[in-house]
Amino acid sequence: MKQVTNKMSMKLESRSVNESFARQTVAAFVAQLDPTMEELNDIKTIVSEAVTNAVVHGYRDRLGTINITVRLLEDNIAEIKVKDFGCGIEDIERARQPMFTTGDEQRSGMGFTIMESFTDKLKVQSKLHKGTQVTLIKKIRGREER
Amino acid sequence: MQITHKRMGDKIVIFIEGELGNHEAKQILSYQENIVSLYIDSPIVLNLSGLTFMDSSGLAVVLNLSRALERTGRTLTVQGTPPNAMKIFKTAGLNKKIEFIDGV
Ligand SMILES: Nc1ncnc2c1ncn2[C@@H]1O[C@H](COP(=O)(O)OP(=O)(O)OP(=O)(O)O)[C@@H](O)[C@H]1O
Ligand SMILES: [Mg+2]
Repeated sequence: MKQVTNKMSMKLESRSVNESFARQTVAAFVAQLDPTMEELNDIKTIVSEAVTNAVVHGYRDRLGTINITVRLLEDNIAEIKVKDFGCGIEDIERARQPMFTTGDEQRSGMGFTIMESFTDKLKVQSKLHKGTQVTLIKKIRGREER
Repeated sequence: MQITHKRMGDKIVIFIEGELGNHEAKQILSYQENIVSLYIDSPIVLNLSGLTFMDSSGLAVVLNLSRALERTGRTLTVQGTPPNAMKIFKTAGLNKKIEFIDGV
């Protein structure tokens, strides 16, 4: 087990206006690991994908709570968890396929593909009618080798 | 997010500035729809040089505009895409389907 060096958590209402706040807040917290601009943008993007999924899919037709936890681990690793208590995912493997979507024309089914390619590890846990938790793990390499 | 458009020569250029996420996408989609039907004969360029953030919602924005233009025999050109947004278009393979050019 890696040592936790710092931790923060927040709860948000699943309003789309909070997506920007969520990605910026998490990026600001992870900034203490001294990431490059590209890494910081990757963090914003993956948080935005996970939070947007909770807003538009998890709580499709209602408001709910989204829990976000960020842990900084030794060796400059950021671990971000985004959890909702919404409808859940029926078939996780199928949902993770590129272009798979149950959304409308505003969605293209690329969220999980982006989360996977912008992180070192993506874990998706879900239970129908109970909710979904996405764990995003990214090593922050920074400008030079540490 | 701010969306505007300008006639430049024979082209209509749409400018999207600021953040493009799910929250902003709805307004962009309806703006684009209006432009496509208003300027029925003009080539359309989407200028993204002012974007400060984009996620997968930007893919749907570009794909919707591209499809709407194809229905009227036109093709989309996307101009000035910042590196962070380009990384997302490439992850989705859109750089092979849509013309991306430099410029601000
Ligand atoms: N938190 C969630 N709760 C319920 N279903 C989800 C959740 N996250 C993802 N899904 C399901 O997984 C599918 C794929 O998600 P993904 O983010 O890859 O694509 P998308 O959200 O449909 O489109 P995009 O992210 O490109 O806008 C969704 O269409 C939805 O069916
Ligand atoms: Mg998504």
